[in-house]
Amino acid sequence: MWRRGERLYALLVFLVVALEALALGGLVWVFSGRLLGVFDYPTARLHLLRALLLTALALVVLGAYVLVYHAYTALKEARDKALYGRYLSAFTEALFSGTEPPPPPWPEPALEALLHLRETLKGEMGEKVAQWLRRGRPPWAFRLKSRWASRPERLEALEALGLARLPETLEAILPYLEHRDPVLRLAAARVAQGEGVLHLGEALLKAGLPRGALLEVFLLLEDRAEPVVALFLEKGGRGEVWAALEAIGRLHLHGLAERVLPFLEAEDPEVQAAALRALARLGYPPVGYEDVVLGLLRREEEFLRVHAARLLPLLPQNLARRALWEALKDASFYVRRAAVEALASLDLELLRKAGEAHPDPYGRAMAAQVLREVAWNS
Amino acid sequence: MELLAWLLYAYQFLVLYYFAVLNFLYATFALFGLRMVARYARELSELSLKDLLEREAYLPVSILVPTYNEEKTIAASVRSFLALRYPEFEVIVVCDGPRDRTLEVLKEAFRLVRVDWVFKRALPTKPIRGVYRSLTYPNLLVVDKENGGKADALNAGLNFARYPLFCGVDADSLLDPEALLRASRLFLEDERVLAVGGTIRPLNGARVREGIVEELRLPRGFLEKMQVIEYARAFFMGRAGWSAMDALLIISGAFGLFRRTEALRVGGYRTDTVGEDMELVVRLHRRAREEGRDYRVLYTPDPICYTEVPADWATLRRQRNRWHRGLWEVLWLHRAMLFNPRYGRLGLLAMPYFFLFEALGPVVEVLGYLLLPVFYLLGVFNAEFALLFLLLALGYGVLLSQLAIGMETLLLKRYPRLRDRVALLFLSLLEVLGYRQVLALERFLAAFQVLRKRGQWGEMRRKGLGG
Repeated sequence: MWRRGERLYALLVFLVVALEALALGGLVWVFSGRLLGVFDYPTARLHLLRALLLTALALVVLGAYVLVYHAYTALKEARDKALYGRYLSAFTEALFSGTEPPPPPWPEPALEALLHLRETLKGEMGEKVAQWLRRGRPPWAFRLKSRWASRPERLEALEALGLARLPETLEAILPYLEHRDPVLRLAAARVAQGEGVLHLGEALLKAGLPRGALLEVFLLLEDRAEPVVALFLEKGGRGEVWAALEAIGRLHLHGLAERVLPFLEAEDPEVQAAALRALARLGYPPVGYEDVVLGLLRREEEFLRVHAARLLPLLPQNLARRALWEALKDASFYVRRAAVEALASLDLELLRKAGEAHPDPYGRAMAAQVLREVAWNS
Repeated sequence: MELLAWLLYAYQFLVLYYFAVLNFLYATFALFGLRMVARYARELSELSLKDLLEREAYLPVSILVPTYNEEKTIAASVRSFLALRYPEFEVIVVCDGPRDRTLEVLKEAFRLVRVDWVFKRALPTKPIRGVYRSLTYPNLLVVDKENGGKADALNAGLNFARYPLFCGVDADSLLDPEALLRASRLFLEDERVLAVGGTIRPLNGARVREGIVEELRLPRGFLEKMQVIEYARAFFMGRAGWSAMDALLIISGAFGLFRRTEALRVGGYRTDTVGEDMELVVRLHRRAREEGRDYRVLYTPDPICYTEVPADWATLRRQRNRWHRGLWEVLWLHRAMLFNPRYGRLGLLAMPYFFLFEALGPVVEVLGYLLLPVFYLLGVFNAEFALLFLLLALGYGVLLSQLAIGMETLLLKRYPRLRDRVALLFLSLLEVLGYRQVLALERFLAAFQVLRKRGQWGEMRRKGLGG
């Protein structure tokens, strides 16, 4: 979205604003002098006139720039679009007919067309597009290593490398995980993929990204996330462990399910809640930790009780039924809701009974409500 | 007589300093705003947005739609909310005792049936008359309640909301399909974020199909066009600037995303003000500052909400009158923050700015116009100087509008047709010749009607969201 012409616009705006600020400062100075009798009226009038002329000039320049830029971009966009279309058909034809694509060097729209194909195609064809991308000698990795590239250029390069998915470019991306600019750090983390995921894991541990951003990175890694997540469980602090636990649940990393269990006893309730969520998402029974889960139902933190209630159906059934029946008496609306929903997934008959005869009127009402919803949804 | 002449003379200097400081501030906002809009345009990776959508990384959102008499727009709005691109969300429409067919229109359009519903009454509201669910959209809930005002309706919606984030939207608005994705991402990436406001754009003139804005064009009406410029200036300069300075006090009621628990913790929306959207944001700031928490309230340029802007003078004046009274009410309710270093840049910069330049601005401007004949009668009126100064003041106004138009058209690529861009540039000249003065007069009057008209909204005339 950021283009060269817009950078010029930004510079223009900066100049205009700076000059206008100067003019205003001058006016304040002269008018103050006039109030104190230092300057005469013609001087004040002259300054006012100058400020006015400057403003008029700025208006003309800005207006003209918007219009000239419009005409220029309309032409450029039309040209780029035509080139993009031409190269996209040439590359597609070469892919499907097994012939060679047009020889490089390729203009930028051609590289964009290749990126588009790379994003869309998987398997053998995807690999072929990756090879063509290498032949095109795209400037992105070079831009990342350059000392002089601007921030938007670096961001563009990172995005392009993310789309290109070329394992050898990981080396150019990894240093950005420790970049002083948090925006670049985050952008690098989002696109860093490839063979060396453990390097990525180590680098991410040092990146100091917020836990939500780490979670994003894990989710974007998809099936390659497991070793990095395992590393985070082992070496991470609170935030890193939280992100790893969330990722285990959301990516269904069943191989790490057992390693989630000890975190049910973590000191940080947020981490405990993340462990509860992960187990619930995996459908993994907390064998050996039943008492811990039941203990969490009595904790002060409402969100912990909610997540513990949601996990109860994975406990031995009789135990779960008893605990859920009790949880329906909880003072919190949200815990009651979670308990009833859990009961609905475990034992509809017991839910019906709760809707009719639970001793707690609020628990009874909640059970009746969820029963209606179950009927509705079915 | 001499004393009066001297006082008037001093007033002129006061106005000059006022003008200079105000324009310095505007220039600062312009720079911050430009930086923010330009950066934002590149920082958001479409690739990641798409991938994360599939992985359900986002926090689920409850969309609260308070409605009153919105029979013309409500069906299209709700359709646009239901068509949002987001993994998990619910739409809660709260009919605040409408006197028209709003509820009936909803019942017909979405095949509503009445249900019994258990909910937590975390916030007190006027009595609920009925709860409806849709046979076609499982994530739509309609709440019918007795009339209690917009804030009361939003509080009722909050009582029914289930998800960790909620988004308050106006019933005469349409959301960009990706607005929630982009805004909610900020909550995912930064736990300190309490609220996020998006950009509001006038919907008038746009081509709308199935509740989705297909093409943004300039509206035909003069007033509507003027508001396109006004909105661009307000959002890309004002809000972007304040957000960049970590002192954003306003998140428009037409589109704002909040952490539900935080809003509940501070008691939800206040029902005794017409500036309930700003008031909630100020209260969130205030509470967090008083508790010494590290927090953020952000504006983000891209999440777009389209809203129908008034097309006639009467409605526009009523709207601006209400906004200005709302501002005064909020300033009064939180007067303890004014010039108070305990609240950091909010107390020392943002609140004083809103008091001195937004609330008092129309008073200074209108007094300036009214005093011209007095100066003339007293023989202290220099016609040449007054004209030059007026031209300069108007020129600065046009300049700011043109900067905002540049951001809108060049950086964000809206209004792509050449004739629309030419028209916008030309209209920014006309805006300062009459339109601005009428609204300044309305705001001037509003400053004196705060007590008398307390809680009055004034009726809004709608055309409908047909485009």
